[in-house]
Amino acid sequence: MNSSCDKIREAAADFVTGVLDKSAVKAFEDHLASCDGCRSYLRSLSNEEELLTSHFGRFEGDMEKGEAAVIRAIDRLELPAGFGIFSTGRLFFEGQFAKHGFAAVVIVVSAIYFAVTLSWISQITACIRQSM
Amino acid sequence: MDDFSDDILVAASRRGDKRAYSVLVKRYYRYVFALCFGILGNFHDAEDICQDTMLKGYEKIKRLYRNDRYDQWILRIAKNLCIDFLRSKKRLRGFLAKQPSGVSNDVRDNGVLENAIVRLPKEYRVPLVMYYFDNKSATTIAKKLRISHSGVCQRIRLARQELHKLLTEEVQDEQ
Repeated sequence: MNSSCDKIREAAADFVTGVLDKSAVKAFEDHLASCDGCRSYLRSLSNEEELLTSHFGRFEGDMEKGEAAVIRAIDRLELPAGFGIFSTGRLFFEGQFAKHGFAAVVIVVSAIYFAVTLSWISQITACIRQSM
Repeated sequence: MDDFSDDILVAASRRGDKRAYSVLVKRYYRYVFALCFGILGNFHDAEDICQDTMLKGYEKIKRLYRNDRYDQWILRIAKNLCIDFLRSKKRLRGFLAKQPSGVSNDVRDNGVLENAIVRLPKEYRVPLVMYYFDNKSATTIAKKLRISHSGVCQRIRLARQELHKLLTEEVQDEQ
């Protein structure tokens, strides 16, 4: 095994899973043609690929059973609190845009209120000074 | 209804439409399961957490602000539930102090492969499991895990190399 074998063995996993770059496939295949060790390594990776595919393929039936179990459980569930006609107001405030918009309106109204109040105070103070 | 976009289905589910949510369950159950299995490495635990996740998703769907982000949102719930589960299991294990670490107690017959998968580091195991559950599409996994396509390919490559090493060790030990 030489240094090019290391690189080829790194590429072997990509080759087996089908993500090896097309430009690298030619060099990969050329090396394999002349290297028994890498050919045997690739063969065992390919066997493992088949093993993994069939291993995870066996879960297919379980997926369908699991989905059906969840759907049955949801059918039995009562509607969560907040669903329906009375939740409109809550839904409005759950949106990010609505929340930020409402906060902005509160800030602007508060600022106007303080500005008006301050001007009234200054006018009243001026009236009191004039009357004195 | 099966052809409707996530956006429409989430909006309908939010109004309490169980049929709409059932379509989302059929569409995303396998991804959630793959993530749970990748994190927990045990079929039965992954199935329990996956089902809890899908139910929790229905109960909390009003909290989802972006209808088109259901996939990422439900995977985040699954990930958090898995982490909580592992924490509670760790506490229990500390209490009982006898459970072997990291070894699956799954009863399926392919024990050698199952154990080798469980022994993979979590950061390699999750993309590897999702890859085989998702018709071997690295692009979809990259989107779901929010990592780059090359990052997914690299993790799958490292996972395969590590798995090969582990399986070879197992065979040598048996001989």
